[in-house]
Amino acid sequence: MNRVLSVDIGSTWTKAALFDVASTVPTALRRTAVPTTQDDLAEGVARIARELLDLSPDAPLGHALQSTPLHACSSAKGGLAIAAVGIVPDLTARVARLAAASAGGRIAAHHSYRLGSREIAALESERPDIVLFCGGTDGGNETYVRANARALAGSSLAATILFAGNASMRDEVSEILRGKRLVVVANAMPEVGALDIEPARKAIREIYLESIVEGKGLARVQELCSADIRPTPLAVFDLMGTLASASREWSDTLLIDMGGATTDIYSNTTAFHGEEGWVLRGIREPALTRTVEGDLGLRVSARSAMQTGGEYIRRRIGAEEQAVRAWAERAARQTDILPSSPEEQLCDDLLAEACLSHAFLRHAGSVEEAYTAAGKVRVQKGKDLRGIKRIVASGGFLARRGNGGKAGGSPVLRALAAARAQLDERTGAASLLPETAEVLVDRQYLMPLLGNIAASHPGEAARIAAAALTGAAEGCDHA
Amino acid sequence: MNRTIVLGVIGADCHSVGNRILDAFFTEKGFRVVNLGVMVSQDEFIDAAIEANAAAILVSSLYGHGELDCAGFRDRCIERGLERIILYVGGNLVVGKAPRNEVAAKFTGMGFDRVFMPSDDLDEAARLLAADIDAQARAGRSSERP
Repeated sequence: MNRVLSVDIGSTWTKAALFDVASTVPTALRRTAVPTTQDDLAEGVARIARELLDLSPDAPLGHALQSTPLHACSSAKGGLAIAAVGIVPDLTARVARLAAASAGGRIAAHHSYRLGSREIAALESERPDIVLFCGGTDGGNETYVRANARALAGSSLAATILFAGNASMRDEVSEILRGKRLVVVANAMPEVGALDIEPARKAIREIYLESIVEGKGLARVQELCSADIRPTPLAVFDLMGTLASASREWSDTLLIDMGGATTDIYSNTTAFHGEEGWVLRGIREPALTRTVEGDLGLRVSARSAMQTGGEYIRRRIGAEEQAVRAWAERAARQTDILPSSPEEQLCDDLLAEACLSHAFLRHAGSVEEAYTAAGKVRVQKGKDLRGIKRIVASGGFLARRGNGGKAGGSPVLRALAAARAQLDERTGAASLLPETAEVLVDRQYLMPLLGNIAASHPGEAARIAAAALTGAAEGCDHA
Repeated sequence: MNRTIVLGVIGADCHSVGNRILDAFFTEKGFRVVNLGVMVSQDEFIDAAIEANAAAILVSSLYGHGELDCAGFRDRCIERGLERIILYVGGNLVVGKAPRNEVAAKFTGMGFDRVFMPSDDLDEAARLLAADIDAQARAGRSSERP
């Protein structure tokens, strides 16, 4: 098996690459993209496979795919939409979001405490694929869990409900939700602050394959593949883990994927170091996590990004944010727009910086200094990103601008510097952001495509990534 | 009977030795201890009590600023739906020497059910805690009121 085909089905474009995984220097041989065929996703996949394999448009694919296996991931048709439900915002509600995002989900909605009629109505109109239902430690809270199970039972939701809450409530929850499609797994927060999100992640993956792939029109794509289709963010998530195990230089890595609709951050680094004089409050996050920001994007989400990032832009350039606001409006209406003048480019750059800065602040934990009788103590909440050594910049905008334009200076580093300078208004807490990281730009947008092959070819994926990201893989043929 | 208790040292106080002793002691006495350690805020105590369905919150304060740190604790519990939870506080609660009944009055006035001094007997505290939890259960009131 010398070559592997990898396909990433996006909502607008279906991207693919042909990898050589047999030679001493594994490479991305060719890369191309075709518009996603919304009516039949498999049609676009077959077309792109034929193109990369130099087959005629009506040549049968089956035989070719036996010698060149195909791997695919998809974010088409809304991706994997997960609603995250928990109790306390800083505990199980947060864990539910973390688990959903780390399973490659798009957080369609999130709720804490009791699901009332408003929340249920909102969930019903959002129509998630999965409701990740958390709450209570094992042997802990029953009241909210019972109330929320009843609320979900009384809803018209067709989603699979995944219960990853208080283990003592399993029987009762199963009984209340007997009319729904229900999957029960180990509690994602069995004890206060202690996480166990792997069972929920694994279940989400199984639910995706069993009951979501088909509904998303991916069944025929699956027939072409030699491995299970994954949601695109999961392919990237798994890639982060695989790269770190394949080579030490990939530990302490952060990856940003900024697109038109969301800004996603993945990081793989020790969340809390337990240094002398440091105390961790709240949950202890796993080393590998993903956050996804649905309000921070450069096209579909440009309006909300402007709303969130307006303050950042005002601080950066003074009073002239009107031009950026006008650009964001246009970008939200015309999502395939590209800047056509230096002024528009500046607006796009500023909007991107604002998205990056906020996404960094939300992914990172914080530290607050407190003076005690025994001296200074640092109270940490969330994840410590100070040890991050490399930042991979991926997605359309960052592929073009990740290293900065002619003016120089990566927007990633500018956004990072601005985020570092910002202290929490209420508590004075500083964010635990990367301090001396290098930025590597994914110019060919290979990350999800490498994620597809990482499980079967981890070492090769790491080597191709290293070559492509440091800019040494100029030989790649853009078909 | 629900014997879950939340334990921690409140405020900018990093005295952890006593906290560990209390954790081991109450665990041995048959309580299910959710120990939050040191530097715990009021909301963190309450968050943990909600998720773990705790019957009681035991607040320690060793550095003399307990009055400031504990002010409004019961009110906050009520706001967040834990009207009936049993609240204990103990430690070096004020700076300097103050008569026991004065200190106790101050903290019961804030809504704590019992107040303990460093010299108090732990076995007695465990006995009282078990009795208070029993009484609460008999009264048929859950500490959890969403």
